[in-house]
Amino acid sequence: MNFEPGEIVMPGDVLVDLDITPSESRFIIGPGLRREDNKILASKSGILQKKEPHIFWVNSKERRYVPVRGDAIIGIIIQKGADTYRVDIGASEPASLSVLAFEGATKKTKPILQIGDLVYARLLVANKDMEPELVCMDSAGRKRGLGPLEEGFLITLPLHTARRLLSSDWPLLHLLGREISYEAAVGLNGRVWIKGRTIKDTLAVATALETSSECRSESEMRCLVERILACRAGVAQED
Amino acid sequence: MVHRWSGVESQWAGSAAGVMPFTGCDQHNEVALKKLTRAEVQLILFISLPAFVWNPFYRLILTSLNSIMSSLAQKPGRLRLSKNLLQMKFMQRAHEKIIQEDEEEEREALYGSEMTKRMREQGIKTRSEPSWLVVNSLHFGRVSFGGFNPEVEKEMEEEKQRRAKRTRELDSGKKMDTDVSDKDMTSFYLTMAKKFSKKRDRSTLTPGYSPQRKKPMLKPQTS
Repeated sequence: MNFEPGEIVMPGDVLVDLDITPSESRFIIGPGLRREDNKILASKSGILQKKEPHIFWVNSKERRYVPVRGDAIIGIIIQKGADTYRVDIGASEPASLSVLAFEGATKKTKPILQIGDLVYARLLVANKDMEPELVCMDSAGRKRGLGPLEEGFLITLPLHTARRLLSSDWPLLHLLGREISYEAAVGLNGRVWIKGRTIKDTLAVATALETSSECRSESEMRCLVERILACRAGVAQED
Repeated sequence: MVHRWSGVESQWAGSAAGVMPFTGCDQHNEVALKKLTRAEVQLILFISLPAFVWNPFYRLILTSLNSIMSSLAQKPGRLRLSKNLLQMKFMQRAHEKIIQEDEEEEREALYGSEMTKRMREQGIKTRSEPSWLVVNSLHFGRVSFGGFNPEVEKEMEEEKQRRAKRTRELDSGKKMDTDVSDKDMTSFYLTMAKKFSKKRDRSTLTPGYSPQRKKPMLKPQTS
């Protein structure tokens, strides 16, 4: 191992030469790393991370989404076809979404989606040589929270911020949820959809999420939440 | 494979006994196969005749027959099922399974040799996992709070329970939930073993077991 976890790596840095590592060492190569022949290289610049027992990845700040199989993302319908929708997922190429890939959809009962509508969908195919493909149900045909998103408000965050919202040690969504009744969908492509009972609630949550990308620690984030909730209460009193 | 099949079929039908383009060990196989096909047909006739009379169990019998047949066909030594049998409607699932296995075998034969030793070794050493979901064990991104969307909140609760269960399993080092614990299973089988063992073997099964010895007879002492 040429680098220790916590160090900064740049694209092209050789982390491990597999020829000279002992044969019992194992590596699970996460995002930001790549194997070329017998070397493990970094393909993004960022901080090398390690999770026991042997998962390695690079934590980087990014705004451009690269599709990965299994990711739940928010897409915007940009074209309607006879049996597929074309969906913009913020990647280099639009994805396709079959009209039959919804819960309970048959040839006769198709979902009604218009151009510009939002869908929360999962990537079934994400391959560098192929068009990405989306589905709005799990393998058993149930929707499990996927599907069209109606009304609400869409914001776009940097990818690392969107990921942080979903990790266990960043309870921002829950902290807001204690005071505000709202629902949200966080796509790993950086898009976040929010719907509150009133416009003020929606905007409060949206502002909190957007501003939270500047927070560097959990305490800063808690401070931010307190201030936003106080503001919201103040606005509510004025009415 | 297909040739062999058609050969067997035709011979069984008695139409072209002479048209067997196989020699040596293949012919030996053929005999065994022919016997099997005949046995199969008899078996099916035997089972299906009463089955038509007594309908409720018909499906059950067919299902069990299907599984028996497919397991027969899976064995490494491979007893092959006849083509006609596989085309029958109730054998469709077994048929698909066999086709898939054949394809896999073929693929292995074609490309197996191209896999170098180095590829094998490094395949074991590294595995690619490009998803943040897995690496960071992220939560599902659809959330609802304060009873806004009960359906989503139910999903959230389920996910939470799944996660808690998984961490519990990881902590205790257990892989799966079992209805019967290992301890119970062991004690059950020990009692069963004891039940069916001979009396003189019991001392090996139960530690600390010693057959009661009769007290040696003592001579009555006369005073």
